[in-house]
Amino acid sequence: MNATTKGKVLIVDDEEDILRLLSRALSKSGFEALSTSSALEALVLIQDNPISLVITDIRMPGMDGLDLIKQMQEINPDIPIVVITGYGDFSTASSALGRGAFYFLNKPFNIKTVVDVVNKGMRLPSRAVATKKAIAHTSITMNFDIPMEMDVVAGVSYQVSRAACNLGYSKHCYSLCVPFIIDELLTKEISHGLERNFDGSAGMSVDMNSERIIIEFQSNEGIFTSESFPSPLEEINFEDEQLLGMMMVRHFSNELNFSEDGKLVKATIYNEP
Amino acid sequence: MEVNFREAGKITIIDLVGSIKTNEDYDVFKKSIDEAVSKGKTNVLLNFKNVNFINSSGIGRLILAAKRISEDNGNLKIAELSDDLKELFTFTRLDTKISIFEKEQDAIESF
Repeated sequence: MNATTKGKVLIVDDEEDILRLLSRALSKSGFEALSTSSALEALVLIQDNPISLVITDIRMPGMDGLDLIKQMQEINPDIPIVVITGYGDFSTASSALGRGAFYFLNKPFNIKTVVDVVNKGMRLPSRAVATKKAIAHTSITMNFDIPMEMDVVAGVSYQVSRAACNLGYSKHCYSLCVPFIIDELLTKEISHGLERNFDGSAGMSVDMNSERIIIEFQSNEGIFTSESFPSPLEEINFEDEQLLGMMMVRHFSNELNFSEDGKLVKATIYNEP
Repeated sequence: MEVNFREAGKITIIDLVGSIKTNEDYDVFKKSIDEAVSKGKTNVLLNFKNVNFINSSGIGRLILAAKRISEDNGNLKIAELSDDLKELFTFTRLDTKISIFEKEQDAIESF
């Protein structure tokens, strides 16, 4: 790496104008810019060069940006990634963030914003090292008082998943096990509450450290009995969504405990090595 | 969730993007199936490459969609599940109800 540059940034986009615009802006800001219109070529460049950060478009012919991110995780998961998405394309942006990108930019973007984001991204790797050291000494407790509204489920699930991700849990844990358990338990309780015009809230607490996550859920009307969580070996009636959901909770929990009155259920997830 | 439509001969491919877990997602999904069926397209392939999450209600909607298309003498199939969703579809034995393929091309050739 040239000692006078702030880092090498790889730009991947099938539009030549974007490549030129970003290369020029980043060079002026003290970065060394590499560019390519091909995600496949980008993978070669990443393997052959000390890339500090990647900016990639999502929608490209051939291999798209999401596939590029996935492949990059195999080569070097520590390279910060910024994705460029179409205006209002938040679903794709969310997918990209879920796969490891740390920021997304909507087109049309402001050049100053791009440079600010790149500067921010350059600080991430050193922060990651410090974070890893702190994780072994960290525990997180979260308490939720959840109104009977389906709209809040995704937000609650996201908060807990994010915390698990920050504590170093595997992607399988934070993107699959945790959101499934929370989504299904909350949905069941809120559905039940809405059917009975219950005007209260649902209580959930999360206690996590780097080794295990305990999600404790309180049901107002005692709906969480052991019978409501079928074993995966039982025949599934797919039209009974709630029973299917509870089977999923049992599958994704390493341990599942119930109170006799059905008002308390505790799911434990262990971190995977 | 977003959906995009493509055609491969007599097969309609619906690219699903995002997650299938909210009422809005279920509506978008249902409308995409309705649109295909209303145009007489009953060979439908759902590409899950860009789907990162589906809950039990989403799975229920999948089953309903498969049933509806089957009643019109059509076929609903799925391709390109992520490893996470593959695990989900396998242990719920959903893969015994709907044909699932690793690669889109294999799914297309199976119709």
